[in-house]
Formats: sequence, structure tokens, C-alpha cells
Amino acid sequence: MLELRGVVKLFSLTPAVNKVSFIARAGEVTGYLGPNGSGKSTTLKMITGLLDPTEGQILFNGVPIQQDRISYKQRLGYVPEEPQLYPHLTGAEYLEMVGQLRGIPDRILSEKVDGFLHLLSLHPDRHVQISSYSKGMRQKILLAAALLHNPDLILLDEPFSGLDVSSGLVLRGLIRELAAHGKVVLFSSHELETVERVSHRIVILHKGRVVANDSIEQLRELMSLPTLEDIFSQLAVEQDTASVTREMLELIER
Amino acid sequence: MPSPTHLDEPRQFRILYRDFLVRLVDLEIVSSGGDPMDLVVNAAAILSAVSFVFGIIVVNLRSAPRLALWGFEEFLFRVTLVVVGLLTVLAWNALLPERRDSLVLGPLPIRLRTIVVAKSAAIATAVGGAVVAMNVFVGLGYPVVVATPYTLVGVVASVAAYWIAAFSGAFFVFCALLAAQGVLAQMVSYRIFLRISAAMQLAALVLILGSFFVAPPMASPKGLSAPESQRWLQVLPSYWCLGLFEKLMGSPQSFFAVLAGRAVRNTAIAMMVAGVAYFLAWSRSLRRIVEEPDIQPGDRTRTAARLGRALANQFLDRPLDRAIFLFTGRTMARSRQHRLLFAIFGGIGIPFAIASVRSFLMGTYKDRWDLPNAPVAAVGLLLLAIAVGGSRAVFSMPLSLAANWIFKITAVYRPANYFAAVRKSLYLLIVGPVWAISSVFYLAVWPAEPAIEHCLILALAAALLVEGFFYQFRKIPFACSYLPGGSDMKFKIGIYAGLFLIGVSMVSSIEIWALQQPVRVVVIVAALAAWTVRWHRLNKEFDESPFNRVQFEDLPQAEVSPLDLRQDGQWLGDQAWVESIDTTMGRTRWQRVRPFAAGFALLLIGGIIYEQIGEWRDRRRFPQIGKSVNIGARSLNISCIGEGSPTVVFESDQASASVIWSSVQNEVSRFARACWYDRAGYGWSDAGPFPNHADTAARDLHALLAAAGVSPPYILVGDQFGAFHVRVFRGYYPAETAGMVLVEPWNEDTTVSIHNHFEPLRPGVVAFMKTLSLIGLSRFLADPPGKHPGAFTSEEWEEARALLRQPKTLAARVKEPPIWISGELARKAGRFGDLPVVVLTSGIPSDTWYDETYERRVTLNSKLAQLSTRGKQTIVTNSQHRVLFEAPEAIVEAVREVIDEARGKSGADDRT
Repeated sequence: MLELRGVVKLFSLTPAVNKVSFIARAGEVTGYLGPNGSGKSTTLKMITGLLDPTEGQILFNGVPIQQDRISYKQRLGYVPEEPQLYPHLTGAEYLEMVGQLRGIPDRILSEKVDGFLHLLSLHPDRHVQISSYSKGMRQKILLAAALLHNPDLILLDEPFSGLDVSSGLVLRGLIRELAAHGKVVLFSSHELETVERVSHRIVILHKGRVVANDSIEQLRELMSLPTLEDIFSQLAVEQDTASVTREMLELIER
Repeated sequence: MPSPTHLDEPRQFRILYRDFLVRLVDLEIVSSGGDPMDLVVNAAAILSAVSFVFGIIVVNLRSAPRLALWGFEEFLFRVTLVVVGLLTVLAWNALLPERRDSLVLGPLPIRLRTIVVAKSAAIATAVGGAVVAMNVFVGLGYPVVVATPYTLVGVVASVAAYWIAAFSGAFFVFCALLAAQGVLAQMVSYRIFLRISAAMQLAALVLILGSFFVAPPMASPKGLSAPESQRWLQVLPSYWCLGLFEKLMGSPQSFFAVLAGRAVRNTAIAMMVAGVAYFLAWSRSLRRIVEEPDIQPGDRTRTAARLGRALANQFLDRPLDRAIFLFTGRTMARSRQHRLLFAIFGGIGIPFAIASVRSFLMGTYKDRWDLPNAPVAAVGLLLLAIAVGGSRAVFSMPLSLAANWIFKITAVYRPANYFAAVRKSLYLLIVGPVWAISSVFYLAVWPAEPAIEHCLILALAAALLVEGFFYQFRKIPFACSYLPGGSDMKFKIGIYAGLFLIGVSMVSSIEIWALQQPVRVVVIVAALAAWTVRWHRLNKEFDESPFNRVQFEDLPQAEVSPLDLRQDGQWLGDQAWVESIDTTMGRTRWQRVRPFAAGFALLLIGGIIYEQIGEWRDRRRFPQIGKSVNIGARSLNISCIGEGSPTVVFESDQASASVIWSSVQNEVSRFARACWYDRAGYGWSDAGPFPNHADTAARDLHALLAAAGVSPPYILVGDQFGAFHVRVFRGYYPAETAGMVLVEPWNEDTTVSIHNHFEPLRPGVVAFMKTLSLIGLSRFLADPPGKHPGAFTSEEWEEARALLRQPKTLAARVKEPPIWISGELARKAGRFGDLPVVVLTSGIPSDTWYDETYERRVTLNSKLAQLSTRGKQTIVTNSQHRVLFEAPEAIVEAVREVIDEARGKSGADDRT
């Protein structure tokens, strides 16, 4: 179980994340939503340990993550929002390096790397440098790198970005299966439809604060709105989208 | 709304020009807190500082003759051309159209000519800026100093001539490199061009740096007109600049006209070819680049990849070690900028190595290169130092910083494991191969034993370099940002470079000296090993500190406190941790000093044992020659053979074992009784009093001869310093002296300053020298016997050298000075009356080590001979300085002559 208790993150005295608290349980997929700049990626970076919270606590299975960062990281898998990879390495080399950094024995590692590359349709390009990969290919590499070591906690930040339709379907199924196998899965995405289909619980962030934290069914009932898109628009979208659309057209045609 | 065809081209030009100019500096490497302009400003500051230093030097050249300044002029131009060349090589990728230019600018409504002009202007700004920065001070100061006539017009013309020459050379270098790249781009496909271009970049770098360090000095009338120089003058643009400058200054020298013509012609050709190639590159290549496939096919053979993996599996057990090793190796092999940086170090180191052995290549070194010698030994050490130092710099240069999150996320080991993995990678990738190649070379070229010893020393030196250069290195290679503007970077580079060059030369000389004796090799190896182990332990302690962590962000200098405006605590946290490091690791002063004290004590004990064993061996190998005769409180050793009267008595030079008289003694004994003896403290004699000047020595000799039953009269033979003693003996005992032979005698007028020191310290020095000998240091430091003079066998020579190593002898050598006292005693001993005296002077002119010229020596020796009415000087034509070593027969002949004179005077032949 992953628990955030009153987590705050300040940048130049401005709270990017403001007293965020929620629980992501094992066996459940928790969707983490919010508009751009709401603090989603910052929260995920704090959970991964890349950033330290200004206040609050982050616990995994009841233990603060700072207590034993090494064993925590051994159980953590993370797909970042930006596909920042070493461009001079090939896909296979990158996965091999990540596996070695995690201490996976060579025999098992090469089986896993080969398997992932096949399953993600990257095998023909495994010896090509990542600098030549498309965005979707890089995303697949990130996904494979995050899952190589059978993590207990999986954090996915915009994992569908750049994926083609079939890969997206595979990933959707994978997320569900991972949760079914007892993992803690926390993922953020702008694709509300996918989030609605895959997640058991939703946490919605707006201007750094949690504005919703419940199962989708409960939220629908509470807010009397049929879809997650409606719920999200109500809670987190401030713009009048119709008005914005009109004004943009006017600007273009000026 | 403006017409769709209207383009604000000036504005587009300004925007593109600024972008291209900034892109010449790679922004990605800079730390998140750093300003890329700091990098530019730093570079400009360094160049200007160098120019300022040259400007200061120029002030002192005002009075120098014009001819003598050509070398300095050529050096100034050479530095400028190297700077421009390096800048061009560093901006190699930005010179011609890139894929990024095609994809980003292609879809935009920008005319091709705008892009080309903007890029050309940016590059010209960078190159011109470098030339200006490099010459801002010296380019004004030097022309003013050498202006002729020294009027306003003359000065302005001189300044103009200098800058024309400098820019001409700079444009030649730049255009030549650009032309080479441009021509290649037209001949092959874009993909092949990228590969060959990378190799060409490295080759250009090595060529530029090599020409700087290896180019021979030719800037003189003789050098510039010599036929053997013409080949170099064809290819060295710095000399063309020299010629152009001098020609513009009105020099009538014909070779300057030739060089100036070459400058103008070659620059024009380079500019033309570069212009055409550049135009074609932009007009043809842009489309070709876009049409290249998106995914470049992988390398099918992947030999290098397989080799790397095989090495990793063979030598590295842990997955983490393999990960770091493979990542490091792949990055260095595939990242152009890292290869380039490493090549810069190689480009400096290899020419230095060549310069180190240049005397061998030119055939001027006196020793054989296939026997152990310092210049060749230095090459291996130089290459190792460059390799390790270069690796340190390259590892600190980041690559794709945004991607280093993977190392942070997967930090599942202790930091010490990562640091150890980095060192292992360094050994496997860099140090091991360089050492192996060097070892193969030395084993092939030198005899086996010194080659193996040298390889062992190189291995330890390599380990020491690694521990030293990577002391407190907390980074994963290429995964830590770089913060420009280190306040002491420029000074550190200069100081370390200077110390390094001095160090390599000195260390190699010490090593070659050590290779002459096995015990020295053992001591050197033990010292290196101890030092390496010490550094390794220090590093390990630091690495395993519980508060240590891998560094991903470069920190500002301690003198500058960051404001931490982001307030995420990252910088302040790291800074606070670094400042809190207790470099003593909690040890007390005594605990820190204890290892050194223990090592020192071990050395002392080992030295004493070494000395005792050495003396025991010497006693066995070199039994006493002669007999010990008691003269009172001590005994002196004397050896006499032959029959007859007068008796010839030989007196040795300072720091010379008397046994070297043996061959002369044997010859003289055929016609006279001949004796040599050891002065107090020498050979087999007891230690003497302090001080022990010529008066004490003369009285000792007299007592010895009496106690040994050697009756007067005596023919005294004194060699160099010994001549003072025999003159004093004659002065004290004139009735017992029948004649003298003075061999290359020291003169009281010219030896006034030898061994003059602060006399109250001398007793301490005597004790110190004796102590050094007792702990084996003098034996350790003593040179091997070396080639023996022809007058001795090798055993005799070795014996003579061994006798000088004794503790009492070292002390005796300090008890005899200051020399001038013995000289004055000899002067006071007065004239020689009608004593037969022969003064032997070497016939081959040479100056003494105490700066006495040959002519003066001949004059003084002549005057010395004239102190006797029957004195004469004999010039020994086949000797340069040591008559005893080079022409002992001359001494025998002189002794015979003096004996004959002495017997003739006495009217009797007392030979029985």
C-alpha cells in the first residue's frame, strides 16, 4: 500500500503540491488526474524519491520511504512523463543496463529483455540507437525498463503518450493484470476514457490540492455525473472551453 | 494583414544568427544552475589572460635586436592559429548543415541564403572573437614595440600588419578545415559522411596540437633559408604569417617574400574551396539529410559491442560493475564530444611524448634508445598520466543529463559500490590497455630485466594516478552536470600542467637511476606500493562514509554561497554535506601520523640492515691491501712495494680511494720503492680528526712513514687536492723531501670558494653525512661503478668505488674542506728552492668543475713549477683532466725523471 500524508512541495514559496493525502492499495489501479501544472508529475517524482517533500510523509507498506531508500527503490518501477533516455544506447543495451543496475542476474535478464522486446514489437530494432526511435518506441522502452525487475509499486506518468492503438490496448490490459497480481499501480494520464476503464479509484488534483479521492462509481453517484470527463470538467477545469475555442479561431484568422 | 510573401529578412537573420552563435556552445552540459554565457566568458577570459601575459613579456623585448624576435613572433602566430583550429574542431558539427537545421528550419518560410548568411556570420564572429581575445593585448603591444619608423604612421602600419597576418592565418586554418569537411560532404552520403567526419575531426585535433608542440624552431636567417627547413615551411602556416608580417613591415629578406606569398596564395585557395564547398553543402545537402531514413540501421557486425561484453563478463562479476563499464565504454565510443575531449588530451600528450624522444629521432641523444633511458621511460608515464587525467575530465563531462534519472531511480546499492564500479571501468577501459601497449613496447625494446621492472613501476604509477585523480570522485561518468565559472580553474590548469611536465621528467630520471641497482628498484616499488595503498584506503574510507551519496549536480565553489532560490534544498543539502565531511575521518593526529612514523621506522631499520650487509660483503670482496700502522690514537693504512731510495709516496685527491694508485705503484716499483697510503677516514685507515686540513694530513703522513719504517728521502706525488698536502709536507719536512710530482694540482688562487659553507654548521654536516651512511642511504644513492678507466680493471674500479661508500669516508670528505684553508697552508709552505719538481698538466683543453679555465690552469701550473729552480711543467697531450686515469704512464715517467734528478743531485744511486 502506498500512502501520502499531508505532502507539501514548495518551489520558491509557491506550493506545487499542497497537503496531498491519499492511499493507493495493492490489487487496485489508482488513477491520478489533474490539469497541466496541477502537481501530478511533482507528486510522482516525490513518490519515486527524485524530489524530497517540503512537508508530509510518503509511506510504502507503512514504512516511510526515506527510512530505507535502497530497498524501497528495489521494489519501485517508474515510467516518467518525458521519455528521457540515453540516445547513444540501443534499445537492448538500455534495458540490459537498467537490469544490471537493478542487480538482475545475466541469464534471467537476457531472457526478460529479449521477451519484452519481442512482445513490444521492438525486436527488429533492438540494435538501433535510441536516437533513431520514435516517441512510441521510446515509451515502450521506458515501460519495459520499469517492469524488468517485477516491482511491487508501479508508477506510470502518461504511459500512453506516443503509443499506437494496439500497444495502448496491450498496456491497458497489462495495467489491470498487474493490479490483479497484487501490485500497487498508480498512473496518471490525460486520456480520461482509458483512466475510467482501467482504474478502481481516482484522485483528482487541482492547483496542488486533492479535490476528489474515491472510486469512480462513488464519484458518479456523489456528483450525479455520468462520465469521468464530466466529473473532471466540474472539479478541475476552470476554462470555458467553448469561449477559448472561439477566441483561438479569431486569433488565427486575424 | 501583410502579404504572405513579405519576409522580414533582417529580423530573421538576427534571430538565426543569435541561435547559431549560442549553439556553438553545447547548452546541455551546463548545470541547471549555470549560465552558458559563463562558459563563453570564461573562455574569452582565459585567452585574454594569455594575451596579457604575452603583452607583459613584450615590454621587456624593447631592446632586443629585431632578428632575435622572429621566434617570438612566430610563436604568437602559432598560438593564435592553434586556438582558431581548436575552436573550429570543437564547433565541427555546427559548421555544415545538420539534421536539426533541416527539420526545424525546413518547414519555415526562411530563405536559404538567410540561413547560410546567419550561420556564416555566427561562425565568423566566433572565430574573429577568438583571434581578438587571443591578441587583444599583445596585438597592440608587440607591433608598437617593433614599429619602424617609430612615428604615428609607423605604429599604425605595424599594428595593421600584425592583425592582417594574424587574421590571414586564422582564416587559412578555419577555411582549410571547413574545405576538408565540405569536400567530403559532397563526395559521400550523409551517413558515411557522419562517420568519416568524426574520424577527420579527431585527426585534425591531433594535427593541430601536434604541430604546436613538435614543430622545429626555424625562425632565424639560417633556419629559414636552410634546405632541410623548406619542407616544414611548406606546411606550417605560422611561418607564413611571420613572413607576411615581416614583409608588410618592409623586411628585405627574400625568404619572407616567399612565405608571404605562400600565406596570401594558400589563404585565397582555402577560402575559395571552402566557399564553394559550403555553398554546395547548403544547397544540396539539406534535402539529402531529410531524405535519409528515420531509423538508421544498426551495426550488423557489432564486433566492438561483443568485445565489450566479453571483457565485462570476463573481468567483472557484479551486474552493477558491468552496467557502469558498458555504459562508460559505449558513451566514450559513441559520443562525439567525449571522444573529442579525450582526443584533446591525447593530442597534447602524444606530441609531448614525441618531443620527449625527439633527440632520439633526430639522432642527437648520446645514449642508446634500446637501453634503459629517461626520455623513453618518460613516454609510458606521460601516456598513462594523460590517459588517466583525460579520463577524469571526460567522465566529468555530462551527456543527456535529463536521462540520468534512471541512475537515481535504480540506486539500489551503496554509493561506495558505484564509485568502485567507476574505478574498475577506468582500469579496464583506459588504464589497462595503455599500460599493456606500453609494456609490450618496453619488453620488445629493452632488455628483459629492466623492462619488467619498468612495467611494474608503471603499473604502480598507474594505480597511484587513478587514486589521485579520482580522489573523492563521487560521480557516475557523464551523469553529473557541469557548472562553469570555477574561480580557480584557469590557475589550476596552468599550475598542474607545469608541475606535471617537470614531474614526469624528474620521475623518469629517478626511475632510470633506480634501475641500475636491484635494491633501489625494491625501495622504489615498495614506496610506490605503500603510497598507492594509502591513497586507496583514503578513497575507500571516503567512499564508504555513511553520509556519502552519488553526485548528480555540480556544486558551486565554496567561496560562493548559492541563494537556493528554488528552495528545494538540493544544493544547500549537498553543499552542507560536502562541508561537513571530516576529511580526517575522525582520527586523532597521532592516528594519522602513525602510519608514516611506522613506515619511517621500518625504512631506518631496513637501511641499517642494508648497510651492515653491504659492509660485510665489501669486507669479504675487498680484503685489506697494505697494513695498518699505529700512529698514536689511531692507525693508518699503507702499502709499499719495490726497493730503493728515495721512496716514492703517493698522495690522493679528495674523495678518492688510494688503491687507485696501484697500477702506477707497480710500474714505479720496477725502479724505486713505491708507497701509497689512505688518509684518515679513507680506505682501510681509521677516521681522523676534525677538521682535517693539509697540515694535519702532512703530520699524519710523516708519523705514518716513521712508524712504518719507511725512511726518507721521499719523492712525493700529489694528485689534484693531494698536491696541497705534499707541498705542506715539504714545507714542514724539507730535508726529507727529495722531489715532487704534482699531477693536475689544485691552485690556491682558484679554489678559494670550493666547499665554502657556513662553517659553524660543518660539525653537524659531518654527523649528518655519517648518519646517512650508517642508515644505508649513501650506499643506496651511490652511482654504480660505471665504465672503468682504461688504467684499471673493472674489479679494481669497483673496489675503489666501494671504499668511498664507507661512513667514515663520507665524514672524511666533509672534514677536509673548506679547501681554501689547505690552499693557504700550501701557499705558506713557500717556494721549493732547488727541489726537482714536475707539474703535469692535461693537454686536451677543458675547464674544471670549479670554473677554472684551461688557459689559466696552464699559466698557474707553470708558475707553480717555477717555484723551484729545477721545476718544469709537462703537458700530457693524451689526457683531458684525470692524468691518473687517462695517462698514468706520464706520472711514471715524471716520477722517474724526478728520481733521476734527485739521485743526480745526491750523486748516488741508492737502489739496493
